[in-house]
Amino acid sequence: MTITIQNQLSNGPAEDESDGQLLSRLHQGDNVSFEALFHRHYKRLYGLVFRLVGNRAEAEDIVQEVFIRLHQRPPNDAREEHNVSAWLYRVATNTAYNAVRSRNRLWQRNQHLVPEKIDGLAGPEKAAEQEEEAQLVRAALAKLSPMHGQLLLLRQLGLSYAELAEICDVNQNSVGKTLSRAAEAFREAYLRLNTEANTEVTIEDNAR
Amino acid sequence: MNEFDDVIAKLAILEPTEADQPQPAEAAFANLQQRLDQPVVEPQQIPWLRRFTLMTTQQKWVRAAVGSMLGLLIAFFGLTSSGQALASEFLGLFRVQKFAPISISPEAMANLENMDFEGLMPGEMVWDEEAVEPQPVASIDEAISLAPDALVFVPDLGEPTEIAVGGGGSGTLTVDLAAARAILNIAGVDGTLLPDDLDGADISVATEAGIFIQWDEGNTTMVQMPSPSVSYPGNFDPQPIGQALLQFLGMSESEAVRLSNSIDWTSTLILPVPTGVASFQEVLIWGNPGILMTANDGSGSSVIFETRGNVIMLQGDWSADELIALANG
Repeated sequence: MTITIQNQLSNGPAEDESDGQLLSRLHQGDNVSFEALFHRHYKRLYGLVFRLVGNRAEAEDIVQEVFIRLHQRPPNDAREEHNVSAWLYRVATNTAYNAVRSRNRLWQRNQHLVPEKIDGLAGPEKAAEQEEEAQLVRAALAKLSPMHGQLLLLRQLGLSYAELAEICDVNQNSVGKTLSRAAEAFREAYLRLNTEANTEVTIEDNAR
Repeated sequence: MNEFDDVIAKLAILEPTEADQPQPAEAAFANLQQRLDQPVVEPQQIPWLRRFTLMTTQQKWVRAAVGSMLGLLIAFFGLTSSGQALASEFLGLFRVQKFAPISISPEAMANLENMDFEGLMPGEMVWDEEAVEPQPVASIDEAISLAPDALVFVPDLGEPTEIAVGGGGSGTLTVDLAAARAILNIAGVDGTLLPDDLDGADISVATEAGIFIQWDEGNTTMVQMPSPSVSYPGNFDPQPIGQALLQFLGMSESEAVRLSNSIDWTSTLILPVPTGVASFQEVLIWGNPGILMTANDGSGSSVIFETRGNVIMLQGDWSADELIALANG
């Protein structure tokens, strides 16, 4: 029995070509190979970026930005030619991290403009709690190095150690150890932020 | 459930819901194609020297200042610090007094540009105050009122065609050693040049607003601003970091070691000059050492120097002698 690995590109001459081959043709101005790379990586990149920014429009915009960069200045380092996915995921993660941190700064600066929650009118409580928890998880991720955040999210997305090694450009033998370190850093950041958030709530409650 | 599984389970809350699914790939690609079809202004169309001058009015200047001081860290980060932090937590301080131009290859220049392009950072940068894009003002007097310490002199070139005030910002970079080393590794430089105790270090940069003036005569542009300052933990040895920066910029290991040992990293700003694009030489302006850069394509000259605590850059379609005379007032 022959096992065929399907990618998301349903047809077209580029279906069986490797990322490296597609990139070589992209360097020669071939738009079909660019489209093939887009279809191959779009959904997963979106999944990664969405988890970081938590907003569909922003995630779509960032993914487009990544492909615009690929189109305008495709990686030409000999090593990267064989690992386009590493380049794509790195740029996507960095761009998403920059967006999140920029947003956090803006939020901190304009916090006083946010109306206080009025007890009893907070809407569906469960949804609000979930959103709060998601924000906390994202804030903790933003405290990690982009590589650690990327590793954890891609693992959560279901990627294998081999795929993680390729995309994150780490030795396959050290993926497990690096993941453990990333998880530990996440736990620490999460616990710290959670404690800070609870302390703030207590202070606000006492002030009322 | 072990601790790792617990973390992965926590991350599951970030999964897109049904409502968060992206538009179909075909539609997304059509949108992308539309964006790509829009005409873009190629930065390469701006002569290099002019780009360099304009850069000094932007946040990149802050990064360059930092970078120059702390090498690798430098070019990659921008930074920050408040006055109180400066007084209480930092022992080292960098202010621009001298300049060291170094020729860098197109590949190394591409590394620098790609770093920005790919959003690579050697840590987390938190801005207390972000530098603003230059905003036009009506007169030099108005510019001085907005940036009182920026202007040292105004060359006699008649009525300016454009005056703007901008820049000024402060922030702190908390170094992520793994990320900084990864950046070096991408450029083929040994990341372990960066010492372990750099991890988590806070490096701060502060700039004040600068003044940008343009004249028709000689297509002249001038930027003046108080010297940016960078503060860093006092136990830092800038030499190995500087060596890493120089190697990142394309120098051989032996050259980088020699130069990094001879540079005073507390006061020297590195000016990367692309090979074949411009030549440079040291000149004296107002009695202080400055650097004159002349574009090889004949598109003009540029001079940068420090005086009275300010960094001044002047650029235009002038010969080297004319520009030096202009800079000397």
